[in-house]
Amino acid sequence: MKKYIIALLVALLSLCSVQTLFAWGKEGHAAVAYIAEKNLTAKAKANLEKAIGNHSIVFYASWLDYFRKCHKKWDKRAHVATYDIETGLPVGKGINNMKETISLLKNYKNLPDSVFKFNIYALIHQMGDFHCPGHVSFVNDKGETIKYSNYEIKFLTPDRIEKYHHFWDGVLLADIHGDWSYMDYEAALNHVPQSVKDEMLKGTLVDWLQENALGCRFVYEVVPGRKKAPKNELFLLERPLENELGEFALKQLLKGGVRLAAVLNDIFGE
Amino acid sequence: MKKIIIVICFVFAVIPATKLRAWDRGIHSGIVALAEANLTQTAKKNLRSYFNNESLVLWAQWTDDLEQCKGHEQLRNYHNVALTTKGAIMPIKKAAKSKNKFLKTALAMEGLEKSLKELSSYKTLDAEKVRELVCMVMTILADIHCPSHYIFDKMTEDDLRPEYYRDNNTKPENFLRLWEAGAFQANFSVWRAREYVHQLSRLTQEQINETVSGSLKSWIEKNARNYANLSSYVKNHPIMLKKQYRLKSSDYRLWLNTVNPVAVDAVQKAGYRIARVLNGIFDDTILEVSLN
Repeated sequence: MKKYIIALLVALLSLCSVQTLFAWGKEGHAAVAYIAEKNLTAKAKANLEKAIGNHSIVFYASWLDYFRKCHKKWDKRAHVATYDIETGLPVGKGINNMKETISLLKNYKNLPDSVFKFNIYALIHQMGDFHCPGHVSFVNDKGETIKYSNYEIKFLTPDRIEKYHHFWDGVLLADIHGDWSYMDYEAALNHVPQSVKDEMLKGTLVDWLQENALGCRFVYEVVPGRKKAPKNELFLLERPLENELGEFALKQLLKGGVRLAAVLNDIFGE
Repeated sequence: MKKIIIVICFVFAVIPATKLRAWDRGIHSGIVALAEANLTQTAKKNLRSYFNNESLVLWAQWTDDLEQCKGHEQLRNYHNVALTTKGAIMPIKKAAKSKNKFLKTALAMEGLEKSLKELSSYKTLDAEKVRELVCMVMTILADIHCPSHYIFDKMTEDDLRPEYYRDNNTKPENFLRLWEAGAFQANFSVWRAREYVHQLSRLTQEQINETVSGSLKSWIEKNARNYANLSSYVKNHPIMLKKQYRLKSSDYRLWLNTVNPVAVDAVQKAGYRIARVLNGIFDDTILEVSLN
């Protein structure tokens, strides 16, 4: 079974295009934000909601996607976290932006309102994006980004073909739990023992992202040095495999939410 | 039995119903959920005794579904409000006699006035009648917070049904449909009824007082002022290329970003105001909202 999963992930990753990146889609981002909200301390929640104008952080979960064209700092490429293919360590614009964003927010009381809001919306969104398998990219030792290409996924039931990124930003969650709202995701995922959450929170931001990357790196081990997949190669996706990928996606949603809460508690909990 | 008949009617009429509706079904449910969350305990308990202990959210679309059934076609006239060119509510009789087909069918005020008058003595009515009237009030009040339901005197077909093209598409798109669903759903289509409550039931008491102060007509005329320039707003928006009303696809998201806050504000106001009206009727300790 693992062989099939690897093969599918290869196919999926090969399909990724940075042209239309919306990561989890609205549902997934709202789920990550709501899980985070439910893991905030009372003090952090109160401070945070006061700072963002008495809204839930869920309200702004996809803000960065909607206003992407207005903010070059978080352009479409910055929504992808890039990693060294050998070490899994994050490199490039995405991680640098994230570090800068968190650093700025630690001094949020002294930030101009517009700067604060842009950065808090970016943090809420990007913690979700960086936990989405579709937003993992690798560079090799020559500094070349591993290019994703034209794989398409052919679904057998019902018969249809989807692009790689769309698979992650809408198709997968819709297929598995299309009738769930963000509150349903939270109810289903957030009630794991605290020890499980503690395990997710071990290490630093870089460690978390490295773990995400390493979780996908094995995909590249089966195609060493390959930069581009054959065009128009279809991968047949059967439902049992899709279900397994769905479980993987749900775990990433939970991790994203719990980790976002930890960062927000650190900033707003004092 | 009546509910079953309505459901059957709805199934057969679902396509035209979709075309006629103001806010879409999800938004109507969300507005009513928001209203229900802001009822007083007394009003909520009292109301539920007329609704088989069911949530009002289950009934959010009841009137819209009923109007698709034979014998209830008159309800279709209760979506739009007729206004003078200056934005004052037009007398019902004058609107009904108008030669303008849009004004003639913009009789939401008639539906609202009739329903509220009958509900003022709801204790003398049977439960079925009370349900029908409450549903009517919920639907009309939700609709009159939708920017596309204001019909001003002398409006033309072009004003009422402005269409635009995206890039080189040959098929025009309708801006009113965008207001009725897209402007809100573009950002928040993942919300269900309880998510509307989580997101929008957050006003402070001071903000609530401000939102629900005034009479029903003052709410409507204030909305009318806000939405009066809808047509020109569409046509004169800086990103809209003039003459052909042609919008670059790349600017579409920017346009949505500008209209989404208007839609969110409208939905939130509708929810709180429905609660205010129902509290006034079904909680004896609360004054009724005056019509004028």
